[in-house]
Amino acid sequence: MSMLVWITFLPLLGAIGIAFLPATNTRLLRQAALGVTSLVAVLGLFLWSSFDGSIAEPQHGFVRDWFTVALGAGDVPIRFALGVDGISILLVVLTTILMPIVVLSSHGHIEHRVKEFFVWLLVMQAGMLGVFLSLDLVLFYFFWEVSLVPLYFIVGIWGGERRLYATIKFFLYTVAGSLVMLVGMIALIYGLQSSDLMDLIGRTGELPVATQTWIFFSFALAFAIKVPVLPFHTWLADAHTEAPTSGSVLLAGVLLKMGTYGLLRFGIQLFPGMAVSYSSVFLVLGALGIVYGAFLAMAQTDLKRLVACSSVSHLGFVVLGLFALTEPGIRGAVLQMVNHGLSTGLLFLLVGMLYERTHTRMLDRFGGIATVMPLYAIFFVFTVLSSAGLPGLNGFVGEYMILAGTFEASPLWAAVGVTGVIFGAVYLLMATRRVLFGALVHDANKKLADINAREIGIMLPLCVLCIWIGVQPNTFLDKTAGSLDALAKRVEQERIDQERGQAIGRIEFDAPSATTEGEESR
Amino acid sequence: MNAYIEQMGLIAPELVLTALSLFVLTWDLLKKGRNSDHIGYATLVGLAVTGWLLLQQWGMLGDKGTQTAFGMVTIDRFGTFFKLFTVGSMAVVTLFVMLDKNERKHGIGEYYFLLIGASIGAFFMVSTNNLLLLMLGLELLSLASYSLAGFHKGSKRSAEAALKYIVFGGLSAGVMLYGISLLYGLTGTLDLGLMGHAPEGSGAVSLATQFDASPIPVAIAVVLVLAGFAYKVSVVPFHFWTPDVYEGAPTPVTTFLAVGSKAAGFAALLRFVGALFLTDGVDASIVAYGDRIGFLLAILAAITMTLGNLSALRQGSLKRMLAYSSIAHAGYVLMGAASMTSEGFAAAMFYLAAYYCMNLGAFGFLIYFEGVTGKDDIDSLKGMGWRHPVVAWSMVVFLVALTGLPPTVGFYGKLILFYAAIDAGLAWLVIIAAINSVISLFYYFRVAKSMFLTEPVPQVPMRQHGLAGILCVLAVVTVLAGLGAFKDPLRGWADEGPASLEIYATDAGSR
Amino acid sequence: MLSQYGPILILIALVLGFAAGNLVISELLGKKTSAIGKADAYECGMGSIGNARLRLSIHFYLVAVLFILFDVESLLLIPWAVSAKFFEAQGVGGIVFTEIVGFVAVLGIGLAYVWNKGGLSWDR
Repeated sequence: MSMLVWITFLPLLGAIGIAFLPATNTRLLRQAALGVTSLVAVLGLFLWSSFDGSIAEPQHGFVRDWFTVALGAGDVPIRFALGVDGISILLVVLTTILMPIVVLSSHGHIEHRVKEFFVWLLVMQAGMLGVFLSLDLVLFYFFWEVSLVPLYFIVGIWGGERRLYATIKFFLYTVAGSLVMLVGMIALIYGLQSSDLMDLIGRTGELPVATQTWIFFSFALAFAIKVPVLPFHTWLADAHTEAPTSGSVLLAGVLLKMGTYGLLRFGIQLFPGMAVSYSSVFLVLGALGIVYGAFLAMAQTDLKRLVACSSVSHLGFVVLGLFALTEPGIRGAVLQMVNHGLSTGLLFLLVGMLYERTHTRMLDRFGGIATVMPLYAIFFVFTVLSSAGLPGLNGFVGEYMILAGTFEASPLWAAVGVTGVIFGAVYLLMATRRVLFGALVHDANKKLADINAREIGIMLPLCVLCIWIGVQPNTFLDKTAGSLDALAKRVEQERIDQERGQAIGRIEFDAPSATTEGEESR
Repeated sequence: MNAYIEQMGLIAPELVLTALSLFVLTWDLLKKGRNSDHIGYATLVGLAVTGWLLLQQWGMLGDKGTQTAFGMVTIDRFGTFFKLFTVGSMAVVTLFVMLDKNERKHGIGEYYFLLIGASIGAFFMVSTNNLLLLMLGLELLSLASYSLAGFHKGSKRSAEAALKYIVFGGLSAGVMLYGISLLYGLTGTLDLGLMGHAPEGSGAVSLATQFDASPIPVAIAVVLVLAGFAYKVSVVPFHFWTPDVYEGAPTPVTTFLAVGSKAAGFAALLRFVGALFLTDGVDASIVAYGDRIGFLLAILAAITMTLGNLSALRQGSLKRMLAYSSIAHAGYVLMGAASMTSEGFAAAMFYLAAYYCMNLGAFGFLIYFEGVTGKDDIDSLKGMGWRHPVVAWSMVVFLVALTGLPPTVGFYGKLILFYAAIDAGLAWLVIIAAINSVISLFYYFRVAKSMFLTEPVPQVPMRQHGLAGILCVLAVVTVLAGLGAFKDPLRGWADEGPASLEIYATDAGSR
Repeated sequence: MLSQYGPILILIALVLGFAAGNLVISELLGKKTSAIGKADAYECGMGSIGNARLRLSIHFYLVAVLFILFDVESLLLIPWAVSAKFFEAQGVGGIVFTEIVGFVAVLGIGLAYVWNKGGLSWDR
């Protein structure tokens, strides 16, 4: 059995196991959850070391027949197909190693209903890993939805004061998107008589252009909501703010990446033609997201909400990089997904630690924290600098590659994106000043305890990774090279084809679509 | 003579049920209403025997059906599929009745008798090609349901439910009979097969011939009959009785109405539409008309699911919410009928099977919850999740299934329905259905929200282990049937249904 | 096809027209008098006594319904008796006899049920 099956289903087995442990023994529950997630993390590292970054095709494949659906001309096999390639490897490993940290970070604020929390957490991990690993459309959708329900409960049960509003909003937004995606997915499977992702890639051009367009947008909508791209971003601020710290870390670290991963996998890789045709739409939305998210963040008085809004801005970079459709842009975007997971995850951890001590997240309730919590201040400044893209730390590499790639495609939107870097520095440093420095005006803050060894232990691995990516990004970039180079080449080819097609009256586009249309109307 | 007995053997399940109903009634008389649990067990045993006979029958039947009782009864896999699920749901409903604390004081023997009578009606309804027997089956089912709906004699709401049900039912049965009489007048036969295709010398005129001569009477007749079915499965605009009756009737009865009765109605609807428009050998001129009926059904499906879901949004009572949700689900199933292909029919059948699972569960939860709190509004569910975790988590599974999310059978059923509808060129309907699923998510998860996300209110701790056990089993089935898609007998069974109706082995393009 | 129904439509029109016409004609031509007697339910014969909305005992309906039920069902015995010889000639006499015995047995159980539940006793 492939390693991927274990990685995907070990959390699920763990969840079932934990469900049978006594609910009162929280210590045992925490240890069990930590054990399971660590085991998965070890598997993830094994996967990492055995993964060959120079190969474009998926590795460690695991394929079994699942069921068939009679559709159109014949039976379409739906398969249980897992595999990992350069697009997904970073996210898979990120998910596996972030999880033990999430479990550890739950210590302070998850004190009631601990068992249920870990069960949902592990179910969610299985869902997320399944999303990144599945190579079959229906299987992908399956895991996509499986990862959804746990967050409903995680935010809804263990969340903040306005958690009910936030959960419902988040749930409605995402399910609306994913059901539209389901319709598009069925149309795609129907049109091409296959639900095998690797088979479909490269064959979507056979569909009529109009069909391609609406299927592409039905996918794009679901992922755009998940990312979230600009007009759909409002659920994120609420969900992030109300989620418990561990939930926020998971949300920022992995869940949002499902959206950007989907855009890359099902937007660009599956529909390169459409991605080329409509890249400007996403460039605009990405660039606007960067600037708008930054402005939103500047206006926040709630520290956690500020971090949430900064997510919108940072993910704008990822979208921008992806739809620049150039090699550095895409590679930078994939790296930036990881960077965002690390930096924003750290930020949420830091906010959570502060909240546990002061029970407030309002910026004006802080100030001068650095004098009572010096260690905390060090980590905070480090994280802020990483998030703002200081050279030598991870954010810089990703943002630089994205902007370089975007400049190649569209200097205008690259320029807009650069302003986002500046604004990002502004709101992050502003927040730092208001939290850490200045006079210690609030008496309640004078007796705050500094972070303890456990909290440092949680953050240290993430910080190490931040530095590692900043100093030696090739360790990570190399793993993605094979797949992403091939993808970039394909997109480039598609762009050339389209330009040539336009030059000679779109003959190349019309000819094949005419025959497929003929088949459609049998 | 032996042939005669052999023919009777084909309706052995029905005969067993009839004998069971008489036995139950007589025993209750002799016991004068005491020892009601024994009657329940006897019912279960009888149902088990019926189920066993049906399974035997399923094994013996080939792809094609066979007729018995002078052509009145048609035994095929399509009918047997529904009979199996009727028996299954009946068994669960019987268990509900036995375990429901609220049902103890009333004449329990008659309760079982009427339930069995209703399922005999459903049995004949799903296994006949003859409109007369279909009507008789439907009436038997309906009459038993009317009495069951008013079973709580002292309760005003129960009486109101029964009265509303019987008035609506009488009206729609009249409408349907009128349609049947028109069909008989047009074709000279009550046999659906002959209506679809009348060979020389059969003395009947096929509907296609009449349609060519003059389409309007045919259209009126078909639509009138469809209206009768639409009432039975509560499709808009014949749904008005549903919420009131579901709310007023005793909850186990509601369960049966929402599950067994509705599925039987759908079975008859599918058979009717299939025999007239889709069977191999149906005259060509009527097939195009069938597509228009399909379009009509598609519009009805869209309106039904939308109205059902929107109305469910505003319900404070869980029972009423489930009633509206069952209207919405009728809309989903109708998608399968509207696609007018064998895949669509199979999808509708599979979805109905899934619907059995999840709705039995949801109503079982309602019974449990009414037993605990004595109320049925969603707000009183507060904190239920932490006091009765097994039941509550089971309910979450049912809610997830009803919404149509993986990994449950509800998702799988919806997936197949969507496939079939897209295959039939009804992409717009699928989009509407997808939007509806989002709407339904909102009110289904209000229940989950109430159970888990709000703080508990003090409640009398009362546990019903039996009921909890059943719910747990149903929840496991709901998940496993969704996951077990790869080696799923259910899918296979559902696929064989339309084949036995001799629906074209289609591809949509050929029409 | 639809034209076949033409005569029926004409008949319906005639019937409605005749009824409506008579009413209209009598309204137009008739002599109008008003007296107390005109408002009575019966214009001729005995003057009515009491209210027309008589309340009957619920048992009346019960017995009426039960009578109709058993009456109609026992009627099935007559066509059965007529065709019994035919079935016997076909060699299925035994089975057909068993069937009718079963039918009567069901009726018997019904009767027993009604009896036992007090449906036949008037003063209960």
